[in-house]
Amino acid sequence: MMKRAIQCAVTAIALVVPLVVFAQETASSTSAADESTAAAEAPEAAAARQYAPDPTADHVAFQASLDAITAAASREIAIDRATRIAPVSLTYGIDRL
Amino acid sequence: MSAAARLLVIATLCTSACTESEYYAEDPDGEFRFALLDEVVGHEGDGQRALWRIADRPVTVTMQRVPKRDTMVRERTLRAVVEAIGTRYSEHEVEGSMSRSACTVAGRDAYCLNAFVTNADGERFLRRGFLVELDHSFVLIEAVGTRRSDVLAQAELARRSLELRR
Repeated sequence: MMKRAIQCAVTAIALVVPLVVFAQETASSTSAADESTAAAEAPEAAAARQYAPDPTADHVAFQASLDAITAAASREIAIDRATRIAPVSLTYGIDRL
Repeated sequence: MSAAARLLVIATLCTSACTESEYYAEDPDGEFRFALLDEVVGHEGDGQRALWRIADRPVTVTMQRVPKRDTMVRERTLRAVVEAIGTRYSEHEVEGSMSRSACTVAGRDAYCLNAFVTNADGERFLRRGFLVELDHSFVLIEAVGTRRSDVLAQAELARRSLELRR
């Protein structure tokens, strides 16, 4: 009986140890793969950052010019509409003095 | 001389004595007239707009007519027209500004306008006058010039002397 118990324990250890070793190797290889993937994506992220708008320079200038264009267009529309209602010259007579 | 002729002479003398000016600007369409400070040395225009240059004074009088309705704007009002003129000044169509106040001219509702415009040489021209509602149009009459005293005198004379003929 005693001999049988020892045999079972040895068999169990023989089975469990390789499983543990295999599991450890798998885990380490997965971690390495993740690191290599991250390392491969780093240049893409850098490139994306390079072409993203810079909120402190170009983007501000672009927004300012866009606002100026919008304001000028609104002004022209307002003057055009007002001129249709009041079609008079604001300078009539000035060049005749 | 008959009594009728005498009466006519007296009436003529009274009329000339009571009027402030013997010079008038006549609307080319015959709808109104108003007095001028001095004789006219230059005139041009038509029923839509006209100007009169006055002798020996740096002042010109202008008239611009705005129809009450046209194909673009079906119905204009006195207030809408004067506000539109104000918008054109405030949106800097020209370098200048304009203020307005409701007034009465020849018994009609009107807006009295007070403006200045600076030309490309930096000269500052005063524009003072009024926008008055007639039967089928609005009329903008302004004295324009660089000398304030003449412009104010001519604008006030035009406002007080406007006579409607219809």
